[in-house]
Amino acid sequence: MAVFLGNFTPNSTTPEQFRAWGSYMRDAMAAVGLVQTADTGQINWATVTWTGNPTGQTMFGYEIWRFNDTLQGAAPLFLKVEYGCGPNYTLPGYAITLGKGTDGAGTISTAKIIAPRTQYSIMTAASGAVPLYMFCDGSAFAFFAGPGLSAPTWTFFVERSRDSTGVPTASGVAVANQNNAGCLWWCYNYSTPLAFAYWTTPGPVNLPSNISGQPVQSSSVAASATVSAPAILIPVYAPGVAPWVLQTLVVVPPGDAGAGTQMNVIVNGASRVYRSIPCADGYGLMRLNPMIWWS
Amino acid sequence: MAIATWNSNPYNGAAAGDINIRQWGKPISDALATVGWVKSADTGQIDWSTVVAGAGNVYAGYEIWKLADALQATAPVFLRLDYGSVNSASVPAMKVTVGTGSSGAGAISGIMQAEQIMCVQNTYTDTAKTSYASSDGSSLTLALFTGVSQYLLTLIIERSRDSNGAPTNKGLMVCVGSTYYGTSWTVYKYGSSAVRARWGAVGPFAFPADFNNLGVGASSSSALDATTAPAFPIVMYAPEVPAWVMQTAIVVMPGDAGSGAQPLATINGAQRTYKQVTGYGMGGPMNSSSYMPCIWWS
Repeated sequence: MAVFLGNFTPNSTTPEQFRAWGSYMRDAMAAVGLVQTADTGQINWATVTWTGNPTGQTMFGYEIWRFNDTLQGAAPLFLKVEYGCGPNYTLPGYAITLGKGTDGAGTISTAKIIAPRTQYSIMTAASGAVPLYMFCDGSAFAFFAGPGLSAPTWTFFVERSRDSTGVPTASGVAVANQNNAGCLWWCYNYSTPLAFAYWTTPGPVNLPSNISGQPVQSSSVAASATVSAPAILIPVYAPGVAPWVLQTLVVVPPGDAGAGTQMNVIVNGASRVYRSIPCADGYGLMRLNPMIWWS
Repeated sequence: MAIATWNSNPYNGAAAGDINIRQWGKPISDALATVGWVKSADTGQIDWSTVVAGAGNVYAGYEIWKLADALQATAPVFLRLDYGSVNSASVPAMKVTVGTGSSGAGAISGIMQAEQIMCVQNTYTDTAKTSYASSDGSSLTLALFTGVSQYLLTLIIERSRDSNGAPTNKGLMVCVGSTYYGTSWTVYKYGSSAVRARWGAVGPFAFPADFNNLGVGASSSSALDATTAPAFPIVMYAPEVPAWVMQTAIVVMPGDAGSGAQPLATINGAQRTYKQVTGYGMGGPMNSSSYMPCIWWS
């Protein structure tokens, strides 16, 4: 598995700024082990530009990435990542389509789509550097960008189904994406993508009403310095797919895991290190801080 | 897995001295023994051959039960059940207390789940209702007086498990539910009443907004339109307790498992047979005809 943590400035006031944050994302994806395909027509970060002042969520280019695990041969996963803008060109944005293959020219055909193109995820143009967290274990991929802001941040993850010991399987795919409407979750049957389950915010878990006697609030648990909440696991499932527990992510109350906190969490039978991704109250996954599998 | 099925009336009697408590209470006692729980030697326990209803809303007696699995020696679980009435003298009620030991005279020690009542609502029927019990030796499911939500009493106990479903000594889940007294789901750090996570009526699961573009709503009887929804797994956790996937029960959509259906579900790495036993739920969102709980059956 590989992780990436760096800082970039998602701001598209000029094409040069757009190239800077987009190519930074590209480099991070390569660094964590995704493989860029040879599809034609992919964005050229040295030359991509625009004319006038684009509006209306214009996409300026795309890249095609694929997974690189042992299941890729029998159950391929491809990501089409489109880079562009929000309602006006200064607001950086992306959209992602998940599929089983491409036509070699950047199109994931309808027959090969698993998760349809996400809604545009837009970030308020950053005036300074914000962190980018990225993770890939070969069978799951996740990124968080700009966490800590109270405006919408970027969250995307995809994870293959797993067995009870955490070994990836080919039967399902879970996807989550955050946009202005909140974080939306899907779980697909790989062989029949129309068979899926879908959750709106806050997602597939219902939080306890209290932990050790302390009330659980929407943005924090237990306003008590003496009470620590457990890491909260996230089960997912789809029609025809055996449920599994997400291994890429857990969530915790912000008070128990501030920025940079790393803790061991037992998921699927093994203890792993997870790293807290700070989010402003009410803006994280399930309104709690996500923790990403870190080592 | 050990299971038990029986019929009895959710009726405690018309007056003090009535013996109807025996017809609903003793089968529960028998079922606990059938599914592998062991009655303790505590003194003062109820005598089903002589017990009668008390005057007014009183508990006529109690029993102390304990698990008999391999963990019982080092992480014992004791269950006290009080039998009687609380809401109306005519209708059954039970008190549930769970701890790590007993005094030998009926007092639970090391209490995790403090005394909680489950009670048939203020009505009764002279029509027998079917009840179910199941246990793998490290758990208990009681679904009493099924088929009518006002009568239904639910008790689920499950030790924490590892990812393969093997019981562990880290935690204990207790769900006590009835329409009249509501439902709580609590995961305790083993041996502690204070270190816990508790859910109220909603329970620890979240239903998707839709399946296959078909909406799922609390008022809908089925989201399926001839498609099959997955079994809903239920993840349990508490502070200092590694999370586990509950194995004793799952939830399915009503269109996929009507009363009596036995769906298969893969939980903790193995496919198991569950049974929809209530016709209604087990409390909270399960306490409706919208979401059907199924208990581990074989």
